[in-house]
Amino acid sequence: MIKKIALLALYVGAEIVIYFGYNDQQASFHWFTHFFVGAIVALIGLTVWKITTHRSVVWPLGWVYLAHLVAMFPDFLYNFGHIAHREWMDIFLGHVSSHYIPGRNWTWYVLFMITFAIYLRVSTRENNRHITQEKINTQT
Amino acid sequence: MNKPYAIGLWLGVGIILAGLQFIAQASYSRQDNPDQANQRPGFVTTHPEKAPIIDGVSYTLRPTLIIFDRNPIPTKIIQNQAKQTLISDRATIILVTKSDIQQENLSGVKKILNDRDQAIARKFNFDTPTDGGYPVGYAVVDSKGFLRYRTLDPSYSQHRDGIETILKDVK
Repeated sequence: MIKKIALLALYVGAEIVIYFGYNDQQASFHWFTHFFVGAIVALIGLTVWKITTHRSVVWPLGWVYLAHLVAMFPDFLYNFGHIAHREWMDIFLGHVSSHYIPGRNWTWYVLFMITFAIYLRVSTRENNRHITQEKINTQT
Repeated sequence: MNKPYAIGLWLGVGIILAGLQFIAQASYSRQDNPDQANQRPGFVTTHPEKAPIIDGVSYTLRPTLIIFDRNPIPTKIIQNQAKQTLISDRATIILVTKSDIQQENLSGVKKILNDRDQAIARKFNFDTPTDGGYPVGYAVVDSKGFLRYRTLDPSYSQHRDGIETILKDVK
C-alpha cells in the first residue's frame, strides 16, 4: 500500500513539474491537450492489454506518463532545441493537429473520461474474474 | 479493484481535471486569444500567403518581425537587451502601435508605425482578443514577403526564446 501511494505521489509530482513548466510560459492549454491525448492512448493500450492477456501492468501510471512525454516531445525540441513545430511532428500523437479538435480541450476531456471509464470497467471485471478463479482453485 | 472504488476514482479524477481546466481558463488575460489553440502555436506555416503591404515597409533581404501593441513601454520592448540584440540580428523589427511613442526609446526597433485607426492590424487579420481591443502580439514575414507566423501574445516581451525559435525557422 505504501509503495502504491509513493508511486502515485511520484507520478503526480512529475506531472506537476511539467504543468508548471508550461504554466511559466502561459501555455497551460497545451499541457492539457498533450496530457489528455497521451492518457487516452495509454488507457486504450492498457485496456487492450488487460483484455487480451488477463494480466495487470505493474505501474499503469508510468505508461500514462510515458505517453504524455511522447505527446509533448516537440515542445522539448521547441524549448531546448529552438526547433519550430512542423506538420510531420504529428507523429508524436498528433502534437500539432490535436489542438484543433472541435471543442478543444473539453472534447479531449470527455474522450479521456470515456476511455478511463472503459479501463476501470475492464479492470474491475478482470479483478472479479481473478477472485472467482481463486475461489474455484481453493474449492478444488 | 472493486466497483465502488472504481466509480469513486473516476469521479474524483474527473472533478479534479475539470476544476484544473476551469482554473487555467480563468487565468487567461483579457488580451489573450479566446481560442488558446491559436495563441503561440509554434507552428510555422509551409503554405504561406503574401504578407499585407504596409506603406514604407519592405520585406526583402531578411525576415521582418512586426510587433503589435496597445501601449508599448520601452522597458517592455528592451526587457532583455542581450536577447533583443539576437532578435534584431535575425530580423528587422517594426513596431505597430495605437499610442504615441518615441523612436529613440526603443533599442533594435527599425521603424514605429502609428495605427490609431487599426488599419494595419486589420490587414494582418489577427484573431480578436477576449476584450475585443487592439491585438497585442506579433507577425513574422519571411524575406520573400510571405506571412509565416501570426499570434496574439500579450506577454511577447517574456517570450523572446519563442520568437527567436520562429525567426530561426524563417529565412
